[in-house]
Amino acid sequence: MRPSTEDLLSVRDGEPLDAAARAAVEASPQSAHEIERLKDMQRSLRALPQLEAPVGAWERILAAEARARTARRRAVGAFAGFGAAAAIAVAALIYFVAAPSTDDPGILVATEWGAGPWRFDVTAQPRTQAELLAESARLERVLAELPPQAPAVRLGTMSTIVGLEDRIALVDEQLSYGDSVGLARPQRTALWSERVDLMNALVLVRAAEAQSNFFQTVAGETQ
Amino acid sequence: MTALLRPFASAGHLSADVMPNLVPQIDTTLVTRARAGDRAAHAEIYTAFSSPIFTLARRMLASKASAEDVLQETFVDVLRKIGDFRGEAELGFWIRRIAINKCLMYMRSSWVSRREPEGDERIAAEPARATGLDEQLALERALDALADVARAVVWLHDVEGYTHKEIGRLMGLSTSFSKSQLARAHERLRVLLEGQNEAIGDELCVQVLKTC
Repeated sequence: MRPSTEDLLSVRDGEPLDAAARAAVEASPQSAHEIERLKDMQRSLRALPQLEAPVGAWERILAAEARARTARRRAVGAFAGFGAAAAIAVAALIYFVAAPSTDDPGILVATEWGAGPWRFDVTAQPRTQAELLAESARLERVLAELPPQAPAVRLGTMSTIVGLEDRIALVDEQLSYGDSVGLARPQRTALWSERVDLMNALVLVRAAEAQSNFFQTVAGETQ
Repeated sequence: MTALLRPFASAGHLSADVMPNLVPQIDTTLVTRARAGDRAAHAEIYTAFSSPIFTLARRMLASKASAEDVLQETFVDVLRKIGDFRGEAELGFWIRRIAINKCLMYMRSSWVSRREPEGDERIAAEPARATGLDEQLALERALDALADVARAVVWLHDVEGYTHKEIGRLMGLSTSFSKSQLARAHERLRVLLEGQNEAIGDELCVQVLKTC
């Protein structure tokens, strides 16, 4: 049986290989030559020359950073108002959806909170790391299928999108850094859970933006 | 604007035998100045890392324009977050991680995938090198011809030194997916390079020997 490239790469990289695959590698007279060729390829990739950054890039970076700083300052003000409104809306939603019916609908019965199916307890949802990984990948696919961002996007929407993307990038960095320091599984799961939540939010914002663009286009065409 | 460079010391994924010039070592006083908002220190950090980061972005993304965007966005992030950098990892690895995440975000974004391929711009943009030029150009072309995910997996694994487990996590995919992508990418690279060698041979026959 001819060994697969995947098995040869495992041997090249000193990764564990099951006994049958190792036997196939050892039995094939071409294996040593193939592994050497794969090592040569890796050396060639690492030897590719370094490229110079484009002229004027630093000036553009400084200008972009200044623009981003101004946008963040404006967004903070907008978010403060938006956050208060959102908090009120969520509180109202929870009250009307979750409040158990009583003889006196104006009073919540505290003892019944958490006992019924209306309980809003995010941490109680069982989500394994494998499920979170799958959900994260699914949301990436959904995001990729959304229409491209319009050239002109409202500042508030753009700030929200940029903020969410930044937070996702930060979680990715933490996951990546966590790998190098051996982060415990519960912490990794928590990070993946946060990533899924952020991806969810990003998909919702992008979908809303896409819908808004669609209606604007339709309205423009009908006028 | 000269960066205070020290000899390379291995840390993180890349090691000294891999690409010693890709993660220049920065003096800690420079980092301290940068964290305090010293613009000259920011410029020195850019000088030290712009080339490695642009190279990383250009190798992971086939598009030169996207690589330029990633360079810009990476350093905008660096400027914004350097105040929070606590030195848990080397500055160079911290910046590379930001850049890698940006590259992956670019790969995921739908609008980038609609950009037109840029043909031979890479070849035209590069200065001629005296040794191994043909082989390097052929390899660059072959790398560009790979699918985005395959190219990223090859670069992250074979050059940056990420494990399949880490690549799987970065991309939100499984370890076995990363392994199979790497194997397929190597098979494709082989086919592409053999095809290019044949093409170069044919061209020589026609243009130089005129006898084949």
